[in-house]
Amino acid sequence: MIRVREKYGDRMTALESSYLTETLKGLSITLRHFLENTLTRKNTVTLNYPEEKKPYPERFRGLHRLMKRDDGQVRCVACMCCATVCPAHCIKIEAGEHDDHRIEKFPIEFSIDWLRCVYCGLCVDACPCDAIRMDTGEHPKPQIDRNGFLTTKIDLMKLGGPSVAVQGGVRPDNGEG
Amino acid sequence: MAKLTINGKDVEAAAGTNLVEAAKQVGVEIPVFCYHPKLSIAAQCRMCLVEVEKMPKLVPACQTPVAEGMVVKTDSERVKTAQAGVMEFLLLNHPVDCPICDQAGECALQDYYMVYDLTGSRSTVGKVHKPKVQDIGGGVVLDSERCVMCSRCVRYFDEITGDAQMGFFNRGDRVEVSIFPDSPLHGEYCGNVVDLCPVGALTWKDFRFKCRVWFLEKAASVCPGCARGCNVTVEHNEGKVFRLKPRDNEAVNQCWMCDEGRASYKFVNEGRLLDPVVREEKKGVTTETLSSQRSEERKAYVKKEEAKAGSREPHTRKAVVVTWERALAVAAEQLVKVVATKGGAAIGVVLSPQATLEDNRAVVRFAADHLGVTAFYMGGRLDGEGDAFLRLADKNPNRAGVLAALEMGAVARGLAARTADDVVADVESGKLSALIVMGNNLPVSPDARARLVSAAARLDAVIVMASNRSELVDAATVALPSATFAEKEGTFVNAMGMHQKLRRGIALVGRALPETQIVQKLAAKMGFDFRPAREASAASPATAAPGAH
Amino acid sequence: MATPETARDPLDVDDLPMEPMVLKMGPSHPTMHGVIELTLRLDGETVRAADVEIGYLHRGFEKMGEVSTWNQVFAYADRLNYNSPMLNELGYAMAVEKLMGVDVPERAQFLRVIASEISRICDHLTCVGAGAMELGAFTAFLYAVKAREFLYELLEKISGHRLTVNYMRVGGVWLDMPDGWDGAVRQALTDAAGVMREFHKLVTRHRIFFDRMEGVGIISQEDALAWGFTGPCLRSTGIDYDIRKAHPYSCYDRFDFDIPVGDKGDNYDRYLIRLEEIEQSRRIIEQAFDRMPGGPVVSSDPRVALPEKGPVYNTIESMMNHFKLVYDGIRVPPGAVYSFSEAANGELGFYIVADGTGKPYRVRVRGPVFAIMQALPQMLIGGMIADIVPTFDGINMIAGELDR
Repeated sequence: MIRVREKYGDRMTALESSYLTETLKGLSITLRHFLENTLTRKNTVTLNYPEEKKPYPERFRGLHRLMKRDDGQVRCVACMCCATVCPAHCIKIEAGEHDDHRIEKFPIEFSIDWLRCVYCGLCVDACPCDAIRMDTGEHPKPQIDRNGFLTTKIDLMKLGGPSVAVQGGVRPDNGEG
Repeated sequence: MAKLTINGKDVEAAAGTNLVEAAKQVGVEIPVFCYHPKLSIAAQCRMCLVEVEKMPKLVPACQTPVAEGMVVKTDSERVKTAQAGVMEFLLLNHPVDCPICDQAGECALQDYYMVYDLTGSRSTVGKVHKPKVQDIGGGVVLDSERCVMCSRCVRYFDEITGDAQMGFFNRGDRVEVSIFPDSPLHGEYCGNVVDLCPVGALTWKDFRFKCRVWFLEKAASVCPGCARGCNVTVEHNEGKVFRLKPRDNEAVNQCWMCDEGRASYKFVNEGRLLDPVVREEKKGVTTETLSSQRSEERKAYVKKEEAKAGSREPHTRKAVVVTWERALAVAAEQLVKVVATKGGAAIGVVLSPQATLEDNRAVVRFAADHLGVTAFYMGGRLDGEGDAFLRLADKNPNRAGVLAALEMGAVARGLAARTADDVVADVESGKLSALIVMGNNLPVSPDARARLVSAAARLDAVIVMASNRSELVDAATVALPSATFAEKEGTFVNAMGMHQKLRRGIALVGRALPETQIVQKLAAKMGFDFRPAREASAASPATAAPGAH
Repeated sequence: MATPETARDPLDVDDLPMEPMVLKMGPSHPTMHGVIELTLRLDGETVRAADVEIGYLHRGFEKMGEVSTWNQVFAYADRLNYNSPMLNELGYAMAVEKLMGVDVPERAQFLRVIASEISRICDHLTCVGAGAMELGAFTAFLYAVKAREFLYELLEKISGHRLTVNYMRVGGVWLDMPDGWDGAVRQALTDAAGVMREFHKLVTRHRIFFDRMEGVGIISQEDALAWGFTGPCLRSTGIDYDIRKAHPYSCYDRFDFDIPVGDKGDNYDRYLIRLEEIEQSRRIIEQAFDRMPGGPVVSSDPRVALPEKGPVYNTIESMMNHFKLVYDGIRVPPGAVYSFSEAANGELGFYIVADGTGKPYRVRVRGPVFAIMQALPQMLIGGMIADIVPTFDGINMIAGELDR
């Protein structure tokens, strides 16, 4: 147990009461910062945004992207896991029949409402085939009206890359079927 | 009767009961794939193996009848190892299909894995591949990789429908269940095999990819397809019905339903009459956008109405989408005029065996007691095909209910329902000056329908309470949107005289209302003190089947 | 003509008709701490009676708890005390794990404690900083926020976000710490400590600050206990009660740290306690890094935690497991539990009732600030309007936790 009054001081001393020492102490701190910041930019914490930006960390959960198969088609198979797990119910998927029997199911429409989204990342956790990721490192941009936040499958695929999961569970590296 | 112990609990079961059923009596679940109470015993999946004292090996519970003094354990270490082992074998070649498989949410493998398995795979070799996505006819899609070879489908076609349409082909780990060459599934009962299949090997084409099972909410109801009144579950999500699945009812449909019945939900979603429509002498169209559902569909409908109404001879009535208040006011006005000038006998009321007992009762009481109507007719749908299993030729679920409605009341009404052809005749002959119709159409030939529509143009009032759009709705002076079976509570009386209860599934679509409420409001508009009576139904509750409620 | 009335001293106001003024302060008001409405009856500047109206930030957390699955509730729990999201998540996770009897791996416990203590420091920095600002020391506020910024970067590195972290799961945490995070944390804490030394020099012994905080918003020990105070507000009255010491949970029993305790129960005590708690939290974090074990960061119980992604993509067993957990949720056996932990403001309790399905039946939150706010009128009466500001700050009312 630490008695804070004992550690930090209780009643004001005469010197402290006179404002003198405290004022001088305070001014010395702020003056030092002032001079330092005027002469160098070494320790300033202000960033001149948007010219200077702090990079988002690797795990930053930003805007979504839909990953692609090797041939550029969308990896997503419309299993609806992300729509199920989303706490904000902002993912709407319409499933359709794919001509290729090995793919079988694909999303005809995949839309995320980026305004309703809380960027929790549960959709990424829930995806069983690495089809959706939130690693674009982008935050939602301002829009003029609400509809600007509705994204479609094509928009989401723009930043998509190759998915690490292959349909049916064949590992790309050892080729085991 | 035999007394035995299952997991330490005492059970008393009739002789010949197998252990799976006996265990159910005390709430013990024994997992099964191939066993089904309505099919013969196969005992081939080995998932139901249980330990019985004094028997050296584990025995399949589905094949073991109860015996006096049996001590059964379903949770011992040996049983658990066996269950995990069976699961491991079944999953050896099972494709990683959960994301694309419709069965997710009602899959025996998924459910049993979480309770009886939870181990990983020890396989280091690839899986055997078999044909996927095969349309084998009858509305069924087969995926051979997902099959666990339980043989339920084979036995179903052997024993229930009797036409042996499926069988096993090949051997070992290449075995596939399939149809016979060049012989796609036929018959009216193929959908049951999809319900039977415990995994996603057999799926229903109509439901394919429409909605995930765990999103569906369920309401216990009765199939509107025919007078059998098979008990069904209406499965719906966000105001749309996705499928009907059979419910167990030994007295009516056991656990089956026909394919026609499975498709009988579609009219709930499509082609609905969403708003009250009035045809009056008005220039221009006013569309009130009160319902937020399907506004595009409604706008298109109104446009079509405008076009049609504008071109109809000899009057210049235009279709106007109006509020309920306005529509009821117009209907009331028209009816009052007819009653005053020509009397209630000039009004014909077409009842609907597609509507519930309560709806028909309300219409009968309103018409007979307050309007003085004596001419009642039977509406509904035309007859179709019946068979010896479930389907009946009468494709209306509630004909007996309409007849009961005509007989009900404190005073025996002595009213009879004449046929729909009589409606056409009476309208053409001028005997009727007004029609109140429940239902979308009349069960008459297309030729007679056309004649009715043109004859109806000369009537003073044609008030139609319909759920879907049709030529009859187009011919109405006032068309009032009514609710379908999926949106209301009520009773259907089937051909065997059983009263079966419908539970409400989805919310009312558009601005539809159940006919009971429509009639209440119309009566109020006309100044009558009308309240639907809470009379006991004419048939005793004992005829209602168990499990019907 | 001079009459007896007009000959009176015009400054003599004793018999002028006067009545107390009723002033509503809020829901938007000049202090920073959240939406609250105070109805004050004032006699000049003195507060004669006060009443607190809460609920302006009620967002239905407990109702959303009933319609969400067990893991979806973390996204809502973040937003309870939004200055220290990790502490709320820890409280909720502990409650569910207690009900289910799930073992959380050690490394996950350590990570949770480190993240929670970082969150606690953030909360205290916000409180003391905002307190200084409300009293006019804007520079000090910015220094405290600068220090807090160093810590937000750490939270962002490990969880992805600064405030809506969604980092914990039932059975563990989302991911292990990234490479170099422990070094970054230690560095950030050193930097923050440096900044807080300056803050301390600017503000703590300054007479204006001292006069406004000292002797203001006093609550006695008996009253504090009677009202149900916990946390820094209770400790400011001299009672040495911290749940991390009294009922150790997670791995707090393995760390050496002290509990700062005040004397008078006034705002100055609360301020000093929070400053000291920042130091003590730093001690805990340093020790946790020193003793951090290896191992998994989420329970390996397949009924609770999503399986690893590799097996999910490639084996049917893990795929089925994954699917059942996603659409069915974690099946928590029926039961009820009350689990409590030391949040930044005191005892944060979660009373959870499960009915065997994948969603909670009831999630009830005992916010520490709720009990303390009941005593606010008592602490304000007799003081002046200007005293409302430091008192209200000292309580550190976060509307998210109060109204849920």
